[in-house]
This record gives sequence, C-alpha cells and structure tokens, in this order.
Amino acid sequence: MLKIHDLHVAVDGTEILNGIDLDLKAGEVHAIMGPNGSGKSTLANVLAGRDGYDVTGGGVTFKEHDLLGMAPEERAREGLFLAFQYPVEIPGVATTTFLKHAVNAVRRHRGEEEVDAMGFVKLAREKGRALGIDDAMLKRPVNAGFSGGEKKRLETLQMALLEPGLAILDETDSGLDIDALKTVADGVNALRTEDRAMLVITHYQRLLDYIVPDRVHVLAQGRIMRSGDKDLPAELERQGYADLVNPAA
Amino acid sequence: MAERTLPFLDGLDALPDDALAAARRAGAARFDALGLPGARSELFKYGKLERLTGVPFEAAPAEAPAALPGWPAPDGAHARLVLVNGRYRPDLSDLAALPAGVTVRGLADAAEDVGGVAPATGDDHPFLALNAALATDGVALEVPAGSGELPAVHLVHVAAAPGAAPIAAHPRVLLFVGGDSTLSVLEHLVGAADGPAVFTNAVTEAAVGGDGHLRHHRLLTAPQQAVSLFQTRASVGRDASFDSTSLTIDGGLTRTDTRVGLNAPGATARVNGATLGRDAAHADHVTRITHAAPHGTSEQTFKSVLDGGARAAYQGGVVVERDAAKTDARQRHDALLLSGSAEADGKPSLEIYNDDVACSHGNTMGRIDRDALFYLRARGIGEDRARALLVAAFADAVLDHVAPGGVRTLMRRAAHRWLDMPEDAEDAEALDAA
Repeated sequence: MLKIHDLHVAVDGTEILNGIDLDLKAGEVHAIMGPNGSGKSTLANVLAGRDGYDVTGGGVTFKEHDLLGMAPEERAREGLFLAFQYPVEIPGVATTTFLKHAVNAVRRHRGEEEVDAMGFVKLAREKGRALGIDDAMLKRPVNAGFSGGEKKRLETLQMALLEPGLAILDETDSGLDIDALKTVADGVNALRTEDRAMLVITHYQRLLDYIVPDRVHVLAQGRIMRSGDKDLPAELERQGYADLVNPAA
Repeated sequence: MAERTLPFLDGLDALPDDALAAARRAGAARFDALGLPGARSELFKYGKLERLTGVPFEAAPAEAPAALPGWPAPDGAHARLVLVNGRYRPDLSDLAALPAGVTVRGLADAAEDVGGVAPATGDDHPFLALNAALATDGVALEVPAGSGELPAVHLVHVAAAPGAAPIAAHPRVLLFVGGDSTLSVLEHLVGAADGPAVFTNAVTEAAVGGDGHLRHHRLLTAPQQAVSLFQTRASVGRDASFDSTSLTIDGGLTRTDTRVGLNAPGATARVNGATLGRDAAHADHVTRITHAAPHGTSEQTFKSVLDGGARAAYQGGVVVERDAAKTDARQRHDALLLSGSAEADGKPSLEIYNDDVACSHGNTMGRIDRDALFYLRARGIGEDRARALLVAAFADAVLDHVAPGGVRTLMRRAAHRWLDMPEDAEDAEALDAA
C-alpha cells in the first residue's frame, strides 16, 4: 500500500526527516509515536502533498504509484486520506456542500456515478449519526466555530464518506476529552478492513489504547529509532522518549 | 453658445419650447456646468471615464435590434418589465402577476407628475443631470399603501445597438412603494456580447412610505465594451426600509451611485454589493446614506472578487445629521484578489453631526487562504474547483442578505456561472432546504 524509502525532507533548508523507511501493507495499522519536533507532522503533510516541504532524497510509492509526483487532490482521489491535526475553518462553505464536492470528485475518479444533493444528504446523515453529527452541524460552515471534538468527528465522517485505502491520522487525539476520543476511535475502528491501511500519528499512548496498532514506530530526530509491536507504547510510557532523543545521554 | 461636453446634448436645442423641453435644457445646462468629472473629482477618482469620452456614442434610435439578447428569468411567479435601450416595451412585458391597484406606466407618454420625464434633480451629480437632459422614456411602478407582499418584478434593461454605431441610452425608473407594502425588484442589465458599445446612464428614483419595504436588486451583466452607470436615489419613510443588493459581473466600466435618505425615525437602509470581475472590467460602487432622523439603521457590505487586470472601488459614505440620534451605521468592504495585477480600493467615510451614534467601517484586501485551499484539495477537490468554492463563499456573504426566492437564486446562478460551477447554485438552495 505505502512504501517509504529513505525519505529526506527539509523545510527552509533545515532537514526535518533524515531517512525514513516504512512499509505499510493493506489491512495493517501502524502507529508513529515521537516527541514534539520529531518530524511526525512533517511526515503526514509530505504524504498528503502540502507545499512548503522540500523532498531532498528518497521516495514514496502509494499503490505502486510515485506518490510525491501527484497533486494533493490526485492523492486523495487515489485513496489517501489525511485526518488533520488542525482541521481548517472555512467560513462561508457549508459542510454538506464541501462534502458533496469531495465525495463526487472521488467517485468521478473511480468511475462511479455522482450522487445528487438529496442522495448525498441522506448518505451524510446516515454516516453522521454514528459519530453524533446532526443536520445542524452539517449545515454549518466547514469547521467554523466547531469545538475540538466536533472538528475531529467531522474528520472521521469525511474518512467514512471517502472510504480511503490509506488513512493517515495526524494527532487525532489532540484536543479531545475521553468521551470524544472514544467516539472518534469507534468511528476509526469501524473503518478497519482487510483492504485498508492506517497510519496513526500520536504523541501519547492514550489513543493507541483505543486504536490498537499492529506495528509501532518511534520517530525521533527525523528517523525511526525503534519499531515494535503493540506493547512498545506501554514501554515508552514508562521510560519516556528521553533515551531515544538523546541516545548518548 | 458654449461648447457641449458630450455631443449628444446638441439635439436639445431643436426641441419645441415647452415646459418639458425647458426642464431638459436645464438638465443639460447643469451637466455642462458640472462638466464631465475629471481626474481630480473625488467621486470619480477611480472611474475610468475615458471609456466614455473615447467612444462616439449616438443617441439610441427608436428601433430595437432585430434580435434581442436573451436573459434568464427568476423562478416562480413574477412580473416582467422590459426596457430596450431605455424605451419601455409593453409588448415584451408581462404584468399579469401584479395585483390590481399596482400601476405601471411607460414614461414617454405618461401625463402629469412624471410626464415625458425630466426632473431627476435632488443633487448635483453630473450623470443625474445628463439623464434629466436626455431621458425620454422609462417606467414608473407604483404600489399603493396596504398592498402587502407583492410578487417579484423583473425589470430588464436590454442594452443592444440596432446598427454598427455605439449608442447611449438614458432610462429612468421610478418606484413608489406605499406603506405596509413590500416590493421586490430586480433591475437586470443585459447586453449583446459582440455588439457595438452601449452607454447606459440610468437613474432610479425610489420612495418608500411608512412601514413599506423595497427590496431592490441589480444584476449587471454587460459585455466588456459597455459603459453602465446606475444612479439610485431613494427616500425612506418611518419604520420603512430600502434594501439594495447589486451583483456586478465583468462588464466594461460599471458604476453604481446610490444615495439614500433616511428621512423619518426608524428608517433602515441596507446597501450591499458584490463585484466579480476579470480582464479589464472596472466596477465602482459609490454610496451616500444620509441619516436625517433618529433611530435609523444603515448597513453596507461590499465584496470585490477580482482576477486578471480587473479593478473595483468602493467609496462608501454615511452622513449623520444633527437630529439623527441613535443612528447605527456600518460600512465594510472586503476584496479578494485572485491575480497580481487586479486592484481594489476601498474608502468608507463618515460625516457625523450627532454624538449619540454607533458607526463603524472596515476595509480589507486579501488573497485565497492557502490552508483552506490545501484542505479542500486534500479531500480530492481539484484546485480550480477548490478556488471557486472559496471565492463563492466570499461573494455569497453578500447574496445571503437577499431574501430567499427566485431573485436570489437567479443572482446566485449568475455568480456561480462566473465561477464555472453552474450546478452549485441549485445545490446550495437544495442542501439548505434539505
């Protein structure tokens, strides 16, 4: 599904990622943990195609295509989904309007028939219900004035509607209380399937108690310092990141 | 005699010596005295009047072009009034939707008060004076008091030359709304994309009686060779409202000049406008709202979206007179620049002669929000469409003020067609209603 090979990325001339390797297969959930400034969000943004990042070495393939050569919208249509750490507020664009454009862009790409306004409202309501997203929230402008929990639930709804092959969750737990975290995690877990892969990026173990990964990688200083199974986070929780960030200390 | 500023005033000297001709000559004299506004004129600081003076416009002939440009109509029950190059055309109009008691008169043959046109006085504005001198036709619509809410009136200004010569038309529109009545009018300018230039110099005079409401809309979709000047003068009575929204799409030189007098306590004015311009389009919106009585409210919201070398200017004005205590007046202009060579100017202004007022104004210039653009693209929405969605959201903030109905949908459709996503206007209404 996703193969990252010796990826180097710089921002304004400063190298942030210093050679990342990762092989994520369909059906797998990998977690990337690491302290602040380790390059976790840089990795998520580079994979989604945000500008401002210079790839200085290595490469990424997604479903055997060269991912880094694709525009952000092409990546999304091919099935890559980034759940944003900070979902963007877009005043004036109704959430349903936005979602319908997104869903139809992806459907067109897959050669599927587009959904009309009424059909779409039905679909969004149905999928929204499980996430506690009501009509009023769907009519509001995208993320505008949403609470942290509402934003993350809307990200999850988008994932449910777009049915991506690869979902990258960037600090999805940030800003969530425990109830909101459970709702979002339930929504994410409902989307775990044999043909879908997930990359869960988080600072804390907490999220991984709810979304249990198959593999866990620890990112520090722009490199994967350690990889392990689902028990690695508990170990990190006890020891902290300090040894990894300053291995010589 | 003195040399005239514009050649088409010459014919006035040949008119028979009656009261109407005298009034028209007086208009011509006022125009000559005021002169064509030059570069130093504050009100025309941004307008490019060389687009007017550089073209040999002739007075519009009586005959209409063999084929008129078409126009989209609002959904739902509505009346239609058509003016072709300033001349009222009952044969193209349809008044069936209007209830008995509402009168519509062509001005060319109207007797008494508005006979044959001329006054349009009120203030010293050169193009008001020019219209007084040259208007020979137009339409008067009168709604008696107590009429309740009427079906919308689609007032179409067709600007299309019958021959190869550029022409000038000077339509006059009179709207009288009696108390306890609500009238919604859409003045819709349509032109021929490939025809000779048409100079439209229209004057709309409106009076709204106590507890009356006039919802006035303009959809200006002239071709790039057009010069379109729309002057509006409105007088608003006690607890009455004048609510105006204009949407200017491309066009050559387009200018709205709207002056509203809030002349009785509790009167409200809302003067809003959105400009969507590309290429060499230039739109000016000038306003002046005079609070002459206490407890008046005025709100102005203008948005400019400019691409290519387009320009727009908003010159807003609010005057609060000495007696107008408890006035609440707001002005704002926001511009969204889509290209490096587009240009916008915003100049709200306030003249206040009473201490007990709340007035505010704001003016911003911006570009497409890169984070929002990335967010939309990261969901599969193509870059062009993502930009269009963001631009529509920006401009829709003006159209959202329009009461829901056929007129708003028509204006939205026009905006979304400009954005190359025509189906979205219908969707917006459908999703909103769902």
